[in-house]
Amino acid sequence: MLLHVNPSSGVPIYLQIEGQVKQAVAAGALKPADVLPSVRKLAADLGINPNTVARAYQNLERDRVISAVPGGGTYVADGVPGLLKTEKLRRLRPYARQMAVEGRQLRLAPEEIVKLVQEELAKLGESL
Amino acid sequence: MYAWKWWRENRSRVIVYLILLVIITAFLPWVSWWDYQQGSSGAREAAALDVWRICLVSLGSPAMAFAGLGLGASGVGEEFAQGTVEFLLTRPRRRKYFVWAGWATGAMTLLIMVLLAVLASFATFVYLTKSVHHWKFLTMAVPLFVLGAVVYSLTYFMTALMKSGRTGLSLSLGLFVIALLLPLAVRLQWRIDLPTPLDVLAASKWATVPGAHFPTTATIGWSLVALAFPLATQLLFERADV
Amino acid sequence: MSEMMITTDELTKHYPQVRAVDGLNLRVPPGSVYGFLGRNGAGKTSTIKLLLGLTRPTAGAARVLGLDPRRDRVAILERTAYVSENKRLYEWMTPVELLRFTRGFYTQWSDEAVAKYVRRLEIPLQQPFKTLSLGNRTKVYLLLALAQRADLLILDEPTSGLDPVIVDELLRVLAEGHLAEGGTVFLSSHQLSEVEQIADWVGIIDQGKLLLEAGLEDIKNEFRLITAAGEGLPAFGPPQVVSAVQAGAFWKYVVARDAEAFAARLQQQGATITDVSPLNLRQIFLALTRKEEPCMPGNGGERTAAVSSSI
Repeated sequence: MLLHVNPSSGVPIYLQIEGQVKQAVAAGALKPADVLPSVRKLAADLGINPNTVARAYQNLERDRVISAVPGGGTYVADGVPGLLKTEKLRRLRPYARQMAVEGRQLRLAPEEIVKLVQEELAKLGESL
Repeated sequence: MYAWKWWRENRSRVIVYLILLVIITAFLPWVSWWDYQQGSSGAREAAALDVWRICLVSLGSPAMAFAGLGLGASGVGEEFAQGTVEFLLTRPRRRKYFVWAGWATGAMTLLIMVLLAVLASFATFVYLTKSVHHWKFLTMAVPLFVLGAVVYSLTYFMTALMKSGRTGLSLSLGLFVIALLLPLAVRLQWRIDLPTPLDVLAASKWATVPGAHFPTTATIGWSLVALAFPLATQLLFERADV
Repeated sequence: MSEMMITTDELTKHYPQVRAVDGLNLRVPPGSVYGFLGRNGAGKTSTIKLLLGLTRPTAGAARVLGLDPRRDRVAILERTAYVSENKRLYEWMTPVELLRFTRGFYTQWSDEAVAKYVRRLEIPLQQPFKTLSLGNRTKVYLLLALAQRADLLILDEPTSGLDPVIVDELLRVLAEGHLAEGGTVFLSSHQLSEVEQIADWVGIIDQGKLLLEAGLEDIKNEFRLITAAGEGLPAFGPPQVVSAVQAGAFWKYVVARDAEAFAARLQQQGATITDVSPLNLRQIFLALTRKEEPCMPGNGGERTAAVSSSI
């Protein structure tokens, strides 16, 4: 799989990596047990700081998107087992808040905002 | 490593200069050879030796001084002018290593030049007279070397002080000329004898004239002067802001 | 703080006409790539010379690899590789001879690394240094530094004259070699996009003082450009507002942290926030170091960016 980062965007590189991995997993391009490149290799391929990659991987691991096997290898995790619904909602809330704030500033009606989310979910569903 | 670099930088100049020098000093004994052949008496022989001595000293002194100027201008100070001093001083060596390695390589080169020049002259003489009777002649290398070393060390220091070989050379030349002329003027004016680098040249008389006095004090004194300059360079270089 | 690779404590260097370094307090963590940024004349090269023991400070102190550059210079230099801003080396030597000369100083020199980098950075080995272009000179200087296998690389404008392909290759070489092995890089460069790609720490120096020192990612997470419209909006704000520029009916505020709180305050004053967007390194750098002309239409007056260094 090919990750691409834009160092000159305002978005920190580690967030870009996290975002792309999550997107790929959500869209099914990355399936559970798929191997991810090692921190070193990814850093070398992209010409970026290994610490940056390490941070992205740590966060992805914390979010249970990937898991690292001691002794080698980073793999896409098997779904998100063991997380309570409340925990999943808690994780998603900051994004919901951001959407609400942005939507309000843009003077969009709540229904329009909800419709937007549904459209995006539908798109993900298609590529599965 | 620094010695290697110094040598590679100065190699061609040194070799050319050395070849010229050796050719000329080798030629010198021919100058007095005719006299020597005539002389069966001691006086004639002594006169011929004296001619040879004077030729070698009067040629050798400026030659060595000139060499000293040229070699000294390639000292550590020139690295500033070349812009390479930042690179050099970010290598893991004490600054005094660079000062002394550079100085020692130049001094060694000077010594070898003097030895070869005197040897070449002596070799011709041996060839002409078929005898090594006047082996003491070889000790003329000492005053010539000391003289050259004084000029060399002075130039080495001035190059470091002015951070440029060119400026160092000019100033050193100026100072050396003053060091020669000032004692002369003082002697003329006040009849006081100040020490001058040329004092060491009296050793040449000791080499050829029986009973002559070897200028030990002058030789040791000016040798110490020659050593004092690289020491001063070390102190200067260690404190230099790059 | 003895584990930091480089620390400075009120480091100061005065020259007759100018205060090049003025009470600088740096912290460079081990294993990081620290982008040391500043305008020309801000004090970057002077700072680097102090760290390497090339000059001595007027006041204050520095510690590199835990050692004092005034006393333990040689020990520092054994483990530190340096690429100078002026890419001057011995003009008569070829790169091969330069390698030979430099090699003799180091015990940890790696010939395999040399061979690898010669190939990857496309370095001409047989031409005398004086015939080389600036880009090739830079490459040779880099090669000499990388072959040392140092713990710390101090690089001053290491991409001078390099074309984009070689720059890309260089960053990869750093990532997979030096950085992968836990080495630290202290990098001073005007090429902000390259710094942005590889650095994880940033220190911005201006007139000898540190304006900002923080993790690059944290900076990007915190700095925001707030565009607001409204009447009577302030030309100045709380300390975290780095700059305020008026453009027609709008004000653009660059905020170093707590952007949401500031935006909320503006809204309380009746403003409409039209945009809150992140900034890249170049934009942040410009906001911090550019001094606006006072009292001209189109700006909110002169602001010296005094952002406290903790974000």
